[in-house]
Amino acid sequence: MTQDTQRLSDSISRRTFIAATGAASAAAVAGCSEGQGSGEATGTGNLSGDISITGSSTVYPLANAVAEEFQNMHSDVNITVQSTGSGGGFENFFCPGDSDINNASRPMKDSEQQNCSSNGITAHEITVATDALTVVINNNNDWATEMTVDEISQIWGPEAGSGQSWSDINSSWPDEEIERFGAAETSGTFDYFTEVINGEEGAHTQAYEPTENDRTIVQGVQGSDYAIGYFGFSYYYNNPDAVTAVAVDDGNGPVEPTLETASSGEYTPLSRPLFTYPAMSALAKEHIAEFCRYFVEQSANEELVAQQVGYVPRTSSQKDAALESLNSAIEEANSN
Amino acid sequence: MATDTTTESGFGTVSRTKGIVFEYLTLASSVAGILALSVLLGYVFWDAFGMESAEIAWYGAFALLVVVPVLAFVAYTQRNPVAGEAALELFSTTMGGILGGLGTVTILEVVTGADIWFGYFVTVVAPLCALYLYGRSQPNASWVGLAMLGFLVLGPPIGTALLPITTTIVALIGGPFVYLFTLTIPGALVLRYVVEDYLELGDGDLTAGVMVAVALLAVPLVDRLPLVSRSVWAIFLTTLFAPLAVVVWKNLADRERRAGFAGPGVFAAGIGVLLVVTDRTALNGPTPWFDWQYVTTSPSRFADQAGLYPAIIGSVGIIVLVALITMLLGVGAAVFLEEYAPDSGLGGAVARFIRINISNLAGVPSVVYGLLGLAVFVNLANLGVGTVITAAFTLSLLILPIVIISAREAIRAVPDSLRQASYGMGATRWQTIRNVVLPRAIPGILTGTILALGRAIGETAPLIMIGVATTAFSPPEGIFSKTSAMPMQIFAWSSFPSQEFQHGVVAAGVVTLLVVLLTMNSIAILLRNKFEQEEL
Amino acid sequence: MSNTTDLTGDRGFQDIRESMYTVVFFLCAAVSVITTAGIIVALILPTITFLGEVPMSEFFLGTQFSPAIQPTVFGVLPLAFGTLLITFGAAMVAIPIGTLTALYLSEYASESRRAVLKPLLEILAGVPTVVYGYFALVYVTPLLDAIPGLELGTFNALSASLVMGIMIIPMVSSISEDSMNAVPDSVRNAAYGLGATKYDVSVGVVVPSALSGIASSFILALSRAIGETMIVVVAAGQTARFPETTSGLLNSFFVSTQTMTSAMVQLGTSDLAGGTTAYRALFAIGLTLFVMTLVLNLVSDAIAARFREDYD
Repeated sequence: MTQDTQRLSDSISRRTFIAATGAASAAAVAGCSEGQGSGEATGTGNLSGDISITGSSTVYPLANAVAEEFQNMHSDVNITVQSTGSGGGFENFFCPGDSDINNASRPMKDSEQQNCSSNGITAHEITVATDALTVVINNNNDWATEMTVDEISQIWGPEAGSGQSWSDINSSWPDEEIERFGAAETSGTFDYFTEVINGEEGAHTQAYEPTENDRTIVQGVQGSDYAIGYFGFSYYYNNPDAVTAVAVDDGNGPVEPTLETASSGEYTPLSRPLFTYPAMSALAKEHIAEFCRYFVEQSANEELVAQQVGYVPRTSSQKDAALESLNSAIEEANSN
Repeated sequence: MATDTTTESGFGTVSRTKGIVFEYLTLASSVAGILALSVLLGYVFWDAFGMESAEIAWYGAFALLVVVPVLAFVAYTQRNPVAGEAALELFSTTMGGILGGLGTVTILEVVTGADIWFGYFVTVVAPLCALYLYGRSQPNASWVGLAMLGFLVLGPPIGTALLPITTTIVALIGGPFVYLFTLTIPGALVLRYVVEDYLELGDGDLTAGVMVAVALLAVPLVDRLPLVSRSVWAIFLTTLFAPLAVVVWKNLADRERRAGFAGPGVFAAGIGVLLVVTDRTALNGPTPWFDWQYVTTSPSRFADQAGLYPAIIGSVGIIVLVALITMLLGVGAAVFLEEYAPDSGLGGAVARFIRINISNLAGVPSVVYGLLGLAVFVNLANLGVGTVITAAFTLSLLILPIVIISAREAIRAVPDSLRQASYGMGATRWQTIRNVVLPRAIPGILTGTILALGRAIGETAPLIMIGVATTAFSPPEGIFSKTSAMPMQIFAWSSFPSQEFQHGVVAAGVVTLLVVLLTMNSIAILLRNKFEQEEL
Repeated sequence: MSNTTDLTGDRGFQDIRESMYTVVFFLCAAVSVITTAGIIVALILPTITFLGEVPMSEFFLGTQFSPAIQPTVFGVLPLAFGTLLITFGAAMVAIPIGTLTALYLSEYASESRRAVLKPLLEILAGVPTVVYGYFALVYVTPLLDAIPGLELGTFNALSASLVMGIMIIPMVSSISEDSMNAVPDSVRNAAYGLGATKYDVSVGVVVPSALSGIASSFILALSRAIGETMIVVVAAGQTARFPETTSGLLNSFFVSTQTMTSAMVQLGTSDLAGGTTAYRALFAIGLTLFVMTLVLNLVSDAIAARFREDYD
């Protein structure tokens, strides 16, 4: 008998297990959306049409997850999501009118708005989540668990060269060379990090190991006691034990990156809003308007945004404000 | 004297040993790459089929029921190659039929729809086929080729103009009947020819009649099956079941080839018994990632729910268009270079320039073709970013040099004596090409084209450059619709960090892509074998 | 020719028809020329703008490639170094194996073994490159990393160049074999007549005689490796490096590397806005790559033409 039970539990294979949990979480997401929905977002299964989403690779996993859920409810809507980078998305796809929605890991620039409006395209801004860039160190590093913005800037600034050691930053720290693992310079994470830490977009040391993959940064930091790295919140959120997150002191005492500190705005300056920009002309189409409403609804869904994608969800009141603003934009789009 | 001999034979031994060592070194090198690839393929199949969850007893059963019988059959084909060939024929007809049916369903049902297909069938496809057949039966009719050209050029606009009318007709008679008229009945006519004249198996009229009857009589049964519509039935009957029936019939009729059934037979039986055994006993089998659900659902951020369906349809749609474009342009260019281009003078220089140009184009990195596609098809022609048609044109330009080079080889292989004989009988150049050169060169051209298409279906870099979607949740709905493609989706997934994606979902995607490639290549090999046999 | 009796219709109509076919077929062939022209124009126009913004000396001689770190530097040398590094690694695999394979196929193998081996070898070149990239990233790197004493990054040049080497083996072997087969048997028999062994004939006679063909196959395979994209994009990483000293050369294999092709993909899909200098750098790199492969192909053709003349 015991052996039989043993067999049975064994035969619940890896895949069925994942399938069960996956289905449960999908159901949970659906449940949430119905619970929180204003009634407009659900129940209309007969929408159809194409939605083309481009833009930031940072927002891509979130947009992908929302699109997947939306697609499950409205199978006739055809959504394509493409990771093109925020700027590349505006310049090559959104402003020429080739995409309906562009994601961005930073606000749309004035030059981009002008570029778009010269093609007769205006965008409506929606904040969909908050990302908290996380500075990480090796778990054996017990001296730099709290750092000021100035110290971080000394490590990562344009003047920092190879050969710099920890003791150069703070004399009580060990005299060992710093190993840096950072974001590839063509990424939005790089732009944002350089802007808020070093004061200028693109101001960054050359002496670091750039990579596009969070896993590599973690591996690098794990590999050396004297390593430091930074990346988006999601990987750290899902693997909190792999490395240690630095508590960042922006003048008001050290703050650790958590869901709470990021959404309350305490975790400065490294938390940043993530955006999506639907074109006004696209909002006039019912299926796209509905998708955007759904996106806003989901932006406060902790299960989806935090646990599955790894960003900081919007608060319920922020979501309601965004929904109101979106609805008036949809109205405006339809009246034109 | 005696010492001399010893030294000589000593040298002899040394140099003989060196020779043997060297021979084995070359042999080892020849298999090194193949072995390395086999190991990697072993890994990916292991992952895709989730073999690690199976217990040792299952492997024993697998080896006993599947591996040993199949290996035994392979060993048997070494002594009886005819059986191996028959088995290959059965395999590629089945897989090719599935792939062809999938391609046809994609193009006709998903991308164009029965109404548009009917419109162009009436104005382009049917007249072209009718004229071709007429031309074959009346080699003296001089206007046939020109008329075909005319329909090729004028047919599409006329078809477009008549679309409202044809759409109404289709709405009246319904999609399944459209496929009955445009696919099943022409298919039955081809069947009649193949059975009666080409293979001389039996009564062609009766066979064709049976096929149409089966198409109609099976409808009540088809209606009961979920997922299979009447249209899909009509299409798969034409691409899969009818050809498969003929191949089975042909191989059954031939005593020597009958043994070929043993291969697929033991394989299917082995798998079947294995499935039943795994199901009935408490034996832990593998937990495959690559399964029916995987190829029929959309991508997902949950590894277990992820599927490749939109990307498969996208790839198939793109490849069908690429095949049409490259066949037309590739054969045309090859015919010009081999049959029309003068050897000397200005024309000769132009032809030489084109030849050098083509061989150099074959060496241009594929990522550069992506930039060309971006500049020409996306920005200049405004065909849309990442649409089916943009991808098809870009990949067509990419493989066109390979298609032209292989088509030239096939045309060159046609003996000159045949051309001279044709000219001697007063045929013009075009008549010679149409009646003598092309019919003999077609198998070779097809082989080369299919191999080139295999390259196109796996290309990723140009697709990235022209902005093919990283993720699409539903298949493209027309040639101007944005699409994803199998290699693109594999590429996107390969950067997902989780183990389930790295070793499960991506591995299954790789296996899907390889299965499609294997099918295409086995069809190409079959064609080449047939071609070489007929040459002898 | 033209005075053959024609029974099929009147002459004038037929002439028109024949010349129409000539035009149609010529147009098909002309597509390839248009393609080449299109590639050149599509690459040159943005490159001219790019070179107006970045001095030519910086692009061709700069030892640093950082399109976004201020101040931006667009030196192509680190990318070219990455490309050469990986090509060198691939050549180290493919050239010895490919040449020995060609020798085996042309000198030693029985007809039936050739019939099995040749299609199998062709499969190596037929596997999609994104699949090879996946193999390198997910299977080869962890395998190599398990070797004691070898510290490999998740993305590294070594595994990318190893699988690329496997991929280009058939390019080396098939062209080399063709040229070895072109060596007339009379040459071999002469050597046997002088008492040479099979080994002596293979290494001492066939290889030297087929040298131009073998060399041409090497160059063609290298050109393919230089232009290969997906293997390096998936498995080699995105760090542009230029070695300051020669001592670090071997070490470059174990860390992440960026090639010209992977830089193009990165620039084409990155957060960089289109229409910027960095975006146009993509086309300048593309043009450099195009010229490099074109020159190699032409050289290979020229050498191959020589070996054809040798015995025709």
